[in-house]
Amino acid sequence: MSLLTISHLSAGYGRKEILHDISFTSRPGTITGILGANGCGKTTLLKAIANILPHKGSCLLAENTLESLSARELAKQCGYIPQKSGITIDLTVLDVVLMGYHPDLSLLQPPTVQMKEHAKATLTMVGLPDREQANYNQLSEGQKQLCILARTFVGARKLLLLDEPESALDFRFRNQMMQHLRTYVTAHDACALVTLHDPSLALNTCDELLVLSKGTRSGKISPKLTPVSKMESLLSSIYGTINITKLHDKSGNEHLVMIQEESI
Amino acid sequence: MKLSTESSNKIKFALIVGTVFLTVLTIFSFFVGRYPLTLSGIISGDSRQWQVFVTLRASRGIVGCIGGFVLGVAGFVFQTVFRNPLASPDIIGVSSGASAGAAFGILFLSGSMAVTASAFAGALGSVVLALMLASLTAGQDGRGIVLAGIAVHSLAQTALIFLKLLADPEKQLASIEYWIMGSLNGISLYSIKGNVILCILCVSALFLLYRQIMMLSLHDDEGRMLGVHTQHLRLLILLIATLATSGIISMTGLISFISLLAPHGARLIIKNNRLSTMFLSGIIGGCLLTLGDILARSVASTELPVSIFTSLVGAPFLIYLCVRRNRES
Amino acid sequence: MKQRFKKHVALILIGLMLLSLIGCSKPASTETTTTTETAVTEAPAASISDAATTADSTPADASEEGSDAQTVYPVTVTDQTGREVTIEKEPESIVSGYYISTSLLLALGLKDKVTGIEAKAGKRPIYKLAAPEFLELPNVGTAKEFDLETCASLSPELVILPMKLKDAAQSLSELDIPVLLVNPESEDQLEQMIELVSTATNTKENADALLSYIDEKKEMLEKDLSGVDAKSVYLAGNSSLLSTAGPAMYQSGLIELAGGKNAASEITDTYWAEISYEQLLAWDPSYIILASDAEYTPEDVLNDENLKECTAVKNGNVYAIPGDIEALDSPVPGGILASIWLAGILHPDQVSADMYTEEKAAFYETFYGIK
Repeated sequence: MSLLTISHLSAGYGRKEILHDISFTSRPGTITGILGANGCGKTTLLKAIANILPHKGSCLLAENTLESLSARELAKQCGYIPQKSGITIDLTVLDVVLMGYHPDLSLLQPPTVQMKEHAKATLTMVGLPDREQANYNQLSEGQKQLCILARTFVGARKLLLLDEPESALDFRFRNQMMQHLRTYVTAHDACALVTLHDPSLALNTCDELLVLSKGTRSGKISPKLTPVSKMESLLSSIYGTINITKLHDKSGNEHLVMIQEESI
Repeated sequence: MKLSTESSNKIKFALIVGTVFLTVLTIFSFFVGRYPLTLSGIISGDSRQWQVFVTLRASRGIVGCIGGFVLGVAGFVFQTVFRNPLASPDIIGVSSGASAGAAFGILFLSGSMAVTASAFAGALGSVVLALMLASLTAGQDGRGIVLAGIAVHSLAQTALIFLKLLADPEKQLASIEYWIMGSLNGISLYSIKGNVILCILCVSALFLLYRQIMMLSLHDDEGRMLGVHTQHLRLLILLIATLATSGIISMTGLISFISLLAPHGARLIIKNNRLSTMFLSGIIGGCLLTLGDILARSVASTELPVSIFTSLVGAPFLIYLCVRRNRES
Repeated sequence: MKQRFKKHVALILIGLMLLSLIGCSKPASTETTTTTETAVTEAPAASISDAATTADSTPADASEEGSDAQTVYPVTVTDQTGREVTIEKEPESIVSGYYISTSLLLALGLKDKVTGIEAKAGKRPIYKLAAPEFLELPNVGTAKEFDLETCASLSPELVILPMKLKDAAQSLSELDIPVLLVNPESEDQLEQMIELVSTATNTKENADALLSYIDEKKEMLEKDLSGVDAKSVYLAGNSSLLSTAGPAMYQSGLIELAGGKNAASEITDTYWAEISYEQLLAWDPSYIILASDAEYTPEDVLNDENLKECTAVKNGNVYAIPGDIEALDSPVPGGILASIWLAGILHPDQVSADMYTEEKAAFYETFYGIK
């Protein structure tokens, strides 16, 4: 039973169509990674689903057509993390996180005490304890991403759209972040769409990978099920000749590693 | 946790000191002026002293206090909504519209009330025009509004120049120039009621809408994905802030610097943008205008334009705050 | 404009000084203000008295001793800004860019020689009454926007301009057009202007008649009003009720001559100054008189809620200076009539109200040919 159904989605900027006829589904409690070369339409896909960009085709979340929802109703269903958050004025970290509750509050209603407590707890969870009164703009880029992640988590939305949420995080935080995301989708029976730069991270942390090439869907990978050779051929179309190897960590868990083959 | 209590104590301290200072300054302003007033004279019910105190002195002091507060808050709102530290209500043509409106009133209507009404209409008219133009262009992130504001601003300036050309240099032109320079002179109980009520209503609305104003500080896409109807909300908030500003400057003429400076002052004292920062912007604005007006009415044998003093008091204040902040960090 | 600018510079300086003096006591600051502003006013005044001295020593003045003296051309005169101007022959075409000098040309009987006047002539009734042809003359603009080209194209043999138009005067002089700059801002300067213009145009006879009329009426007022209590008078300017003339201005002399005392005597500005309602109530004048061209009426003042405690308003003593022929509150040749009018209001026992009506009719008939 799928939670998110994308059918025949085409989108672009102005007259230029960037995405052509994309269809896929996601089940509840899963993370779907989106892989593709720069400019292949990953961000466009997220923006189209988030209904920021006009598009053809339809996006169905449970029984709701996302296109038919108002901004406020949509925000109640779906959380979105842009590549770079546009906060330019000085705000406290806590105030930034509390913005995540905006769709749940009426015009003049301030956030409740419970919301504030939950926001603080979420900040601690993502790795920003005791920073709630700090100035968002003075955080490092990685901390900012964690803060925006917390903002997205507090809303408890059914669908999360994350545009390169790991780009400024170092190795340890990347894996941690994906774990937080895993905890979140499991707890809320939600599904997450994540565009990722790092294919190894994607292979090891996502349930499914949607591979985009020049705006079309070139395939779907289930890292746990898809044979390595098929993964290699699909990913080679994006990254050039690559090689995927299975490695085991010390406790015996299997990891996939992708390395670039020397080009001749 | 310790850090946050410390900073919240500091904020409380700043707000209390500011409010007390503004109150004291306003009360002090009740005792500065041309007409010899004594406390005993006012209390004992000397009808002339009482009349001067109520209709002129106190009204002027209160307009100074509220007017400065409104300008400070409006400045804060504009800087937040446009995400631009240099934004002020002028950016969408409020002051040029008000000037053109006032010039029209001076030329073709009679009575100071008519000039106030005409200035108000001018300010509001040019802002509504700017917002309408902006909604046609559908520019992203309020940029359309800024562009439309510039267009309307030049249009209003042209109208103003044309009206000045028509004006008689001996009388109307002098009045227009004096109006543009801005002064709290001529304010009396009979002319302020409507404007003051409007300003109080608008400023209260802005405080109630504080959370929404902050949502507008995000990029449009990000705001929309958090459920903000950015276009409508921006129009609503700009309109309220403009109404408040127009309410003040239609009575006083242009008052420079307060909208720009007060929010910066507040942000230097309270590090982040909070509800208390907006309130402190108002307090600082109120202090600046009250102080400026006390000087404007007492320094020379005649009434001077208040903007001279708001700038002269304001600029060193801003420099002081910057230096102090630099030292602290 | 220039004067205003000067005023503003002075104000900014004062502001700056005062800021540094904020800690000082109030009397100290008032003192500062006074000194600075006086310094500003003194500058032009000094140059004018210089000009007067120089004018006395010009060859033209030598012949002035005889009452029916003729000007001998070429004549060199010093105008009211201290410029020396040589006029080669009796000017047959004159342009005046200032309503006061235009009025003077009429009073000196030169209306047939005037070939161009200032703009907006249509709103001055005196032209309609005394010289309807003036309304058809080309206009050379206003003090704000002087039309140099039109002026030059008329090839006038003499141009009279207000002091504000110094730059235009310079340009015209370079075209070999003689320009007299006038600055009638006080009773003395008015008389000086009358002498200057009459010397330049060979109309000293008429000027003498005009000057002696003014002197005669002045003496009469002084005699009739000797010993009366000066009434406190507030003069409200054209632009607003709250702009007024300080003692340095022509209008203040007009009030004093009529047996009044300028309520704004503490003002040090040399131009119309802005004051507050409070100030007006503190002065509490017995009379409020409005400038001739004021846009508001005595009724507006009487109905002003803010002034209901003011003595002048309580007693209904609010009047507008007559402007039915010309603005009598400005230093025009007939300015003395305003004093006669005001004396009739302030001191009806000494000067009858009819006197103004009679004198006005006589004056304008004698000097302007208005019947």
